[in-house]
Amino acid sequence: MTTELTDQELIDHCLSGRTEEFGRLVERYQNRLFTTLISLLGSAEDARDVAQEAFVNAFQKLHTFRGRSAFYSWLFRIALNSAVSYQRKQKQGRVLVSIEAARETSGLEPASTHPETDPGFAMDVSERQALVRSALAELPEEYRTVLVLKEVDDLKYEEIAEIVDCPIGTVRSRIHRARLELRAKLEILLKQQEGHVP
Amino acid sequence: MNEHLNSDVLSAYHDGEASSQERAEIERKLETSPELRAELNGLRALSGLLQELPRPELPPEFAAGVMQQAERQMLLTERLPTPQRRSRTKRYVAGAVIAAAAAAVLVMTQLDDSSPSTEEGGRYATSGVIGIAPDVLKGDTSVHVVVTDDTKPQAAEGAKKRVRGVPKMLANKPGLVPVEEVKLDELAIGQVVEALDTSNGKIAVVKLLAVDRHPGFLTVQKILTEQAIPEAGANASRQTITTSEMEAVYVQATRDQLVAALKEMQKEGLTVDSKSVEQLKVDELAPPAREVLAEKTLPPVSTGNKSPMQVLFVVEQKKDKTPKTGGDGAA
Repeated sequence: MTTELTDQELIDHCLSGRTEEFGRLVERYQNRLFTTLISLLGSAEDARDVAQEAFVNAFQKLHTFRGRSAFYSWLFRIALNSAVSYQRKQKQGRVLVSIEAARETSGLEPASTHPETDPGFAMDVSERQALVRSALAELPEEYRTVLVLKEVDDLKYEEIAEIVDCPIGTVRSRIHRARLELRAKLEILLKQQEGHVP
Repeated sequence: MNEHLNSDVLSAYHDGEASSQERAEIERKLETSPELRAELNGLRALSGLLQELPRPELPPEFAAGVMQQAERQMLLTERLPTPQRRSRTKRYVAGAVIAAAAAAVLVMTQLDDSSPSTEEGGRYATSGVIGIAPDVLKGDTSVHVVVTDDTKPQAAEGAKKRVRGVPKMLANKPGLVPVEEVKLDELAIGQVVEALDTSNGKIAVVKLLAVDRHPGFLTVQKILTEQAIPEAGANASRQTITTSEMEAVYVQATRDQLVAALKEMQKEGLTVDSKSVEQLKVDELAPPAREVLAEKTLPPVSTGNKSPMQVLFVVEQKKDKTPKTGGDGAA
């Protein structure tokens, strides 16, 4: 029976020369990081590129990891920096979910970014997801990041504060504001959803 | 409008992040306020929409790709994840070894068909300068080795010096010139001169030790031979280029061979200065290197399933290719 090594044990092994152990850390967190990055960047292709760059950077900086935070928090902070660099390289002033990105992620063309203008609009799951992604992408980056880390990654405020390097109170406030903005953008959808919430 | 719509308390409560006092207050109000309950349901519905987003998975080979990329970066920069911290005594010895080893060694990945092209048609390659080991020279040690065959430890000892406070230092040493302006060609082998180093945003007086580049180049060749990268014969996979400006060897080998070779070079004191990693235009290289790269005169290397990598090791004396003062100067 094999015992699952902790993150710190894998890191220690890697730092002692068994660099292949970093691959196990990648396997452990690749999908979690990928999912969150898709929500932040709006494109699976971009998320994959940024995830790869983040892991490579983390490998190179592994000796600076002090274990004061969880490895994933540390990794995600690197990923955020990678995302910023990536966007800068692509000369994107602001991340927006394009029609292509929404189609790529959901497999469907978003019917409309403003379905509330269509009274008879009825959405299936894929269309609803494309709409949510689109609305999410319209949020200011500082709001979108904290909300995604909370809702998609299920991190605690303290962990989010560490990743985005701001006080917990600021995280709390940004999440609240992000929700207010998102609710306004998804008003119709939410009214449909509320009927299913216990 | 409910009073809680304008605050973040309900949102924090929904996330399980409200204080006990806030939680008690909200739960008390929830019992009597349909509006607040609706508000909370709205938050839950919003969370439901976000958590409903698909969670695609990366392909299983993703991790292997990351490791390949990471090792490739390590090959280019020789920046191991392990901090090779050395004792002060060992640093001193390492300095001496470096002095004996070589001048600047430029490692450049050779271009392949996938290399990006510039708009002007020039091609880029990622490169790193192997010079002084940054991790060796951290702290108060600041040795800038240029070229020498002087292997005496005293030389490295004498080269240790870091001075802060430019105005005073400049006042005391009015003849000091920047490292970049030192006329290397006019130095005798073994000669030590002082210069002003302003790299990495810090200012220091460094001592430059003139070193013969050839011993360093021989070290590179020896290591390549040890890694079973043949120089001659039908399976020759390296080609030497010697000019008055530089000595270089163009190598085709497997990644494993090159990683092993670079590690050996590190042991010999030849270490990538990661601060110097940059994009270089091949057109900016000295002509012999450029010609070799353009001609690719070496036959393809048979490496089984492993793709060969091509690297150019350059030991040169050109002033603009000499390594900067080692380390980040963090004192």
